[in-house]
Amino acid sequence: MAIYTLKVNKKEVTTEKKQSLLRFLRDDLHLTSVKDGCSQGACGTCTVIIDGETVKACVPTTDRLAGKEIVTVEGLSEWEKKVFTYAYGEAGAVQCGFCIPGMVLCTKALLDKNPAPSEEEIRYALRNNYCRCTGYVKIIAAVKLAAKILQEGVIPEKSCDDWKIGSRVHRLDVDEKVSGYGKYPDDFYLEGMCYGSALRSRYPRARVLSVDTREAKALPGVAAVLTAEDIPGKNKIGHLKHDQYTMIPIGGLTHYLGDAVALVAAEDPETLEKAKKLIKVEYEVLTPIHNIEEAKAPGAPKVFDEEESNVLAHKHVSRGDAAGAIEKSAHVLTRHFETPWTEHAFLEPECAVAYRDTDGDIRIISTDQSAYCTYHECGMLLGTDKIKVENALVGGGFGGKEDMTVQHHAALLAWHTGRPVKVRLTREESLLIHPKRHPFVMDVTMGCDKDGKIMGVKAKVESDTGAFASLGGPVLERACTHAAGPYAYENFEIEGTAYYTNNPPAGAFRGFGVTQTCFATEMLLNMMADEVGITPWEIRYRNAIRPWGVLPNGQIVDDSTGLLETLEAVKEEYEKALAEGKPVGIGCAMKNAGVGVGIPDWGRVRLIVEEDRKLHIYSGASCIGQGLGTVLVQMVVTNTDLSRDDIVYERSNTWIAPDSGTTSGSRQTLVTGEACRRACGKLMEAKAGGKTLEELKGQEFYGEYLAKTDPLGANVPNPVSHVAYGYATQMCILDKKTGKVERLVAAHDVGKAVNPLSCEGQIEGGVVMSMGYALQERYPIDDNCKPISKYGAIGLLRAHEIPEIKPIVIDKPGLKVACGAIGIGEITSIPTAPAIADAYYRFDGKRRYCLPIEGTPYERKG
Amino acid sequence: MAVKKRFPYRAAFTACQGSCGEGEAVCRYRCLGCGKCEKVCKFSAISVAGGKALVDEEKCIGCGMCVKACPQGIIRIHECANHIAVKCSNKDKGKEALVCPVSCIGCGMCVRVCTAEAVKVVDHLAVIDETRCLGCGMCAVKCPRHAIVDLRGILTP
Repeated sequence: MAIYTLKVNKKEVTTEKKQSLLRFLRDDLHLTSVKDGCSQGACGTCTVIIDGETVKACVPTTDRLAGKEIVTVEGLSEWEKKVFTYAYGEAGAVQCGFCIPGMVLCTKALLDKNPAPSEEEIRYALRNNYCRCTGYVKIIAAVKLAAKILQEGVIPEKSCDDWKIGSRVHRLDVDEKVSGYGKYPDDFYLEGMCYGSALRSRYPRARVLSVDTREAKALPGVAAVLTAEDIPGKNKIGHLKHDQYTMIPIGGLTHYLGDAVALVAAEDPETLEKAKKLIKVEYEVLTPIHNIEEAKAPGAPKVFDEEESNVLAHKHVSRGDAAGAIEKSAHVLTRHFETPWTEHAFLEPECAVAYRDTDGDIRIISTDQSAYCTYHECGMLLGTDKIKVENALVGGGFGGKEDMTVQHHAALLAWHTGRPVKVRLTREESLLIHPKRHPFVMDVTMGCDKDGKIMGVKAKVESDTGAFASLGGPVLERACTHAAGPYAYENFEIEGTAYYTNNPPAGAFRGFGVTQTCFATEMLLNMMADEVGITPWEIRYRNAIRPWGVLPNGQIVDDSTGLLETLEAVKEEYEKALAEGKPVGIGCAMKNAGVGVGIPDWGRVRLIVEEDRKLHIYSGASCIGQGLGTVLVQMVVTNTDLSRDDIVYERSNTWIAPDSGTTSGSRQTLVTGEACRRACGKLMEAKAGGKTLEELKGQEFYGEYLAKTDPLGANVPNPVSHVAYGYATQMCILDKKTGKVERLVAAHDVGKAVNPLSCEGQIEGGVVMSMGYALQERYPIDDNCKPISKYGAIGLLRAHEIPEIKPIVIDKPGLKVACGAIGIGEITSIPTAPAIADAYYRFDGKRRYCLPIEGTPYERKG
Repeated sequence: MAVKKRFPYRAAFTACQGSCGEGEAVCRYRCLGCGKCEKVCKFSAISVAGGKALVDEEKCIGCGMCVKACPQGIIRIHECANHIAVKCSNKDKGKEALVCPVSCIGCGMCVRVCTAEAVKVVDHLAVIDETRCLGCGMCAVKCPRHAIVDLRGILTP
């Protein structure tokens, strides 16, 4: 047998196996800074340096690398690690962190060759690596800063280090993410661990007639082959509605190509794949439902045997008399709009490791948006509460990690085998399996008076929620309630329906339905401005909701309402662009922070003074990359007399940390933040008289907060639908010569910005994500209901393609909780698409009603 | 460097590895080694050695004179940062293209493995859309004919 000798981080290493360099570095050498984001050559998270050049480690095989010098982040010098950690922290370049080791190596490879690169050269050096969180802006800034430090030879002091609210401190997880020692679930290699995976349905809609697992079970190296019969608890689980099958039973219908028919655990991934191929499944193939039209056709086949129809949810929201008001309006416009499927494309594919711990509990290490959701759903599946869930680092979520994708499968396999089991989706599986952003079709009518004041809006919207409910109901509801926009008018009526189909499921995605309906409303408003003969800015200013005004949902908004400030923040630049004859488009949005509409929405935090005389923050709230840990530490420093060094942030778990709800609805900063502030109050009471942490050792301080709201349709004159709203105005300016986006300005009212650096990062990332949504991202699904399988073909924007982005953080006090902080997560992605589409109308005179918009230089042809 | 260049740098690229003629057959799309490119180049950036044209990217400014001069039409201007390239111009189908140890036969392996949908086979010849290419080199590593190369010399010799 051949032995291959490689030089990795200056050490000679050997392997007998011909395998990808990525697998060798991770599985054999456990150099886990080298991430496996796609194994397709697209994402760049496995970037290493070979002989001075960046290479994606999933591409070359071990037999071809003799004599080459390979460097991973682990092999950087201590000085380099310090420089990159400082630069990435100071610039605010780290969010979920999954792309970061690859980005760091791109930085090193560039600066080794070119110590003083231009911005364009930096963008080129990063352009083969994707980042889905940051929009690249701050990573580019980090490279510039690193170049400067390496040339000067001195690391400066941090520009901010007081950790109070409002301070641009370095996030607390920068070092572990830059140096690559922070662990995501896939980075756990436990003793005796085997690998699990699901055999998926061959057809999107078919009846499973039989499953023969005998041959697979007989294969040496197979630890378990499970079918629906092996589920000790309930087969059907789900985030809210329990209609997601863990495995399709014999006689049952498959709902999409991602439905599992059997589960396998094996000693190694190769045996695992072999075993899956040995399972024989007989199907009765049935015609699938491809779209909304087919789903609602009379006599349409049903996606679920047990449902009455293909309707998942129907919402009707009405206030005032929309039809009557429109009839009396001076200007009336009606248009049809469509928005597409969108893939979250977080850099870290879903992965969970489960094992039985010394208490006999099933312990799940997971990447998700709520450890408690995983706990409840896996508990339902196993029929036990003897489950513990902990979050490892989470490599991005954006709504796509709210559902069970791998956690339940890992838990079930560990339950049966008694061994640690890792279940990790391939990128192709990830593209198929986790719920996507709903495609919507929308018919909207708007009526305005002669001055452009909105008199009424009436709409009908439909969404394709795919193969199971996920959050299809709440997404539809939020789409409906927020379709009204951030404006003060009284007559609004909307009817929405979500249909099951045999497509991949759709669920939560940054913006939660509002990204879709906001596009329609804002586009109509832009057209209306032209009808009335005023600018799109002016029509928004005239209609904008002001403090103590009444929203179309009846809610009276409070002092913190800052839409006007966001409009005023872009005014000068908007008018300048108009005066210069530049194509400029604008969009506004509002987005709730907190779940709202009467659903119990609890934030909970437990502060414990542990043996190390430090205050440990425990909260069952997932940091999915947005920086929750940093927010909570800043909350504690601001609301106590402790300093940063006295505080330890603990990642979410379900046995010490109290349930603080899902990372969803832009809620953690506000809801968990307020719970944290309350816990701090108790700590300070205990510290009265100057007690030290040493004296408080072993004590706990618990804070909880209920964000109390009224249910939809509550019989009160002015229901409180949400405890807080964020507001935004975004503006897009095009380059007249190239027809490309020259500049995006995003003004956001965030209440009190806890960390303005992180806030800007959220804005830039959200804007770039939606620039992709508006212009070029795609998620095609074929006739067999099979979606795109190639990560590099989704059309994510790359570092050299982003325009100049100017985030404007508007600090506006007024909110009485969480020190005035309103969540920023989702709204950053909402008004971007209509602003861009309107800019293109000003450019070429073509109205666009569908996303991604056509006839731009970004359009992907062929 | 004679002329100050602006990033992203562009340079001539010859789509032939000059490996034919070792057997009996000769490729009709090959670099003839005629030297016309060398003659028109004002920057001494392209030269013929061993019967094939070589480009010195440091000197080349991407003016395109050689592209016009090449009788075989196998020189083009590309962005130097795009280091994965099809170094063959053979448009013959399958077996007919087996005139050289490193010719593209249009098998489509590159199309299948490309994550970015950046590669197409046009007239039995692989073509990379450089605006889509993510530079991973999966096509180069998987190409059974070694017709696609990593110009940096890392993934392919």
